[in-house]
Amino acid sequence: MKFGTGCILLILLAGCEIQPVKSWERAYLALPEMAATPDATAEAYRNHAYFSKEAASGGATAGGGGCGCN
Amino acid sequence: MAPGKKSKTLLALTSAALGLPGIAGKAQADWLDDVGPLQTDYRYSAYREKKLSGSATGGTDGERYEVDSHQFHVARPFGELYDVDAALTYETMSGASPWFITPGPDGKPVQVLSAATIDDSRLDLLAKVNRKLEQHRIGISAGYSDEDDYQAVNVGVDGDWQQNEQRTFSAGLGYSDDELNPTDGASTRFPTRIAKATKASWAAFGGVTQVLDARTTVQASGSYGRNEGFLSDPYKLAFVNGNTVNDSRPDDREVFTAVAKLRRYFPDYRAAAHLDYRYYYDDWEIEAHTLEGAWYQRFGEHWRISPALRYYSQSQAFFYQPFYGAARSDGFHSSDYRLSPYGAISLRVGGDYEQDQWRISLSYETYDSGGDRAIKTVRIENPGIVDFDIVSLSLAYKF
Amino acid sequence: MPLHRRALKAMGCPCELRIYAEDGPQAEAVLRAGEAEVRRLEAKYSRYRDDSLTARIARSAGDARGIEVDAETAGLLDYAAIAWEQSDGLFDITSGVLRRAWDFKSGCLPSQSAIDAVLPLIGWHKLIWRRPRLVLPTAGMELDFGGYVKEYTADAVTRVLRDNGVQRGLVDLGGDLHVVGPHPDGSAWQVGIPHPRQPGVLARIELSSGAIATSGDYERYMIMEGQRYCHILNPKTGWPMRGAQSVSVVADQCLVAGTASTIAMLKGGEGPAWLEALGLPYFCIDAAGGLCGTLAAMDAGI
Repeated sequence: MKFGTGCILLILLAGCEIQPVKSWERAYLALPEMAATPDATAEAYRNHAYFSKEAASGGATAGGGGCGCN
Repeated sequence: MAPGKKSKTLLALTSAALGLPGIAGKAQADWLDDVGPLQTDYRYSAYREKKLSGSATGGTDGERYEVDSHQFHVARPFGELYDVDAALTYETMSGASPWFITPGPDGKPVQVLSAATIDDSRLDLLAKVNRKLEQHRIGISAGYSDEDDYQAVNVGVDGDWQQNEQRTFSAGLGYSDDELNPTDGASTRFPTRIAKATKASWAAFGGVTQVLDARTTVQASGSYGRNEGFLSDPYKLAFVNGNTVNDSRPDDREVFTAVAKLRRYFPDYRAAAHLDYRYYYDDWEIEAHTLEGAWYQRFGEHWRISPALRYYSQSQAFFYQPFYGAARSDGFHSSDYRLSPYGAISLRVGGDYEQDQWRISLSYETYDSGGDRAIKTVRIENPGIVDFDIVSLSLAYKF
Repeated sequence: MPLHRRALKAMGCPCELRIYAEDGPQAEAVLRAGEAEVRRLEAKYSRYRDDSLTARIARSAGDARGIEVDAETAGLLDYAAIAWEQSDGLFDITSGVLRRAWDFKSGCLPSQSAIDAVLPLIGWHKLIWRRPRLVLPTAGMELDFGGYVKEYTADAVTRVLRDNGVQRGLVDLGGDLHVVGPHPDGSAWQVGIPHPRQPGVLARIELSSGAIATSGDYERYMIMEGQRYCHILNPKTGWPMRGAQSVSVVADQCLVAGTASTIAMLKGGEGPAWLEALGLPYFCIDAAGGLCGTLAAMDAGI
């Protein structure tokens, strides 16, 4: 639990200071590699593999099928 | 400025100038954003589990599982407000699966694999429709999954609310209804195997994405879920005091996750770094940590290479044991390695080539698990924990 | 209120952003944002970078599917279309290929065959521009934004500064200027018009608002046998225009001022008449070195 809280805080604090970003500066943020999920199909496949082989499942998504994963 | 006659030419030039975002001040689309009407992609993935060594099976090496997957995906906006996304997955799987664990001659657990080779196929369909409303987006999704022994229907709704230029809140709700019809259920061979069972799951999530500066974003989210119904594995057995009994798990499971993601761009390197962490906890007392880092590096005009490293660790379910000396009073027994304590490290590398409307990608991942990889000490490693490799090839085309 | 300045070299010329602002660090941040906008447009439309949009457009030449452009570029193309129409085809952004024939640093005139080789690649009417899709039908065709993107940048940077709360200042991109606002005491900026034949300033114009752009035959040129050949080339013949030595135009947008001064230069001898009909204040130095134009009377002298 401590490890987990530590990780979350570390990630959130990594760039703590909020700088205003003007619309003309959004070039970098619009890059596909800056998205939460750069490749949805690949992510769907990987999550399916991990969810069927590990105990943990889920994340920031809703919907998506179950399976009789063995 | 001298007032006076404004010629037709001047009016034409001035009004054309005012049509420019830099002059009139409309929000600009970044030139790196391509807006294509129809996006399509196909992905083939080969999943191969490593053989179980003879020491784990107490005999010869055991062949495990292999899956070939084909994913088809299309996405298209309709007008200014709507977009539709549909995905179809077709998989064929074959191989042997862990069946039960017995204590070996020296007391160490030995994995027995299912004798019959599974030969199965799975079809999965998922469709989503999104609608934009000013600063928000709302989406609904529906899906269907079909395997020889398993069918599931799922629905979901989710939305984003953009509070300001830099902060977006998102939330969603999902529900899934599953029906199992295990092969050889209630048969002469497996009289105690259930013939039919159902399971219902629902989950809710909420999150916030914050842009910290021109090249950094951070996302935090949490989810809560509940599974009810038949949650055991109808094909697995547990070894209890000299006899094998059916895998039996509670018929209820509450699941919590907390996720943090960091995305940072390095303009001097033309690369983006990703860092993701997920904390998982359920009321079967499994606690899991997932930490994943990835680096997306561009080369030249067309190439992108992305290495990634993922670390995973889970603790065991309270009722799990590799084998049991005596039956549990609550009647729960499972030796499924997926409820056992272990850790895994996976290394992945992907390469993308993009040109005009095409993108071709190739990736390789190797997943290596071990009791010694877990955060906490694992006394007995489940002999069935899995190592696998995945090779994927994908083609995307934007019309 | 103190004046904060930021000098930079961009788009091939010395540039300076000047703003009046109280808070020092905030002024620095605003100047940074202004510089970032210059760099953004420089990178996007540069003729010299492989990863610029200009390069991507050039690579799409000959491809019937063409290239899809973003809203900003679409706006610039629509503008170029209007400028081409209003100048009777003299302002033509497909004429950049002429630099393959003309090398002003070499001191050698191009052969007629070298010019004839590129003339078929020139002609805005040969392009297919249907927003948002641009098609350059023949391989080798190019779009050159250099004729007006600097002036557009002056306007865009002014917008950035204004969006950040600056009300008084000046954006100067190598002589293409946009006034953000007059000095705190209300006085106008003194803008120098370069002397076309000698170093230094020939005249000064007072500007408390709006923009000014100058086109001259002295920016890139060579002199062969007493004749001056400058970089303002007629897209229909491939040869330089001869007329005024320099034209400066004042307009609400630097973009419009720049287009007007360029078209006036391209019209050669008919330039001043065209400017009179246009209706914008202008200052022109004719072939003989004489001053003319509505602003000549306003000239504050040296």
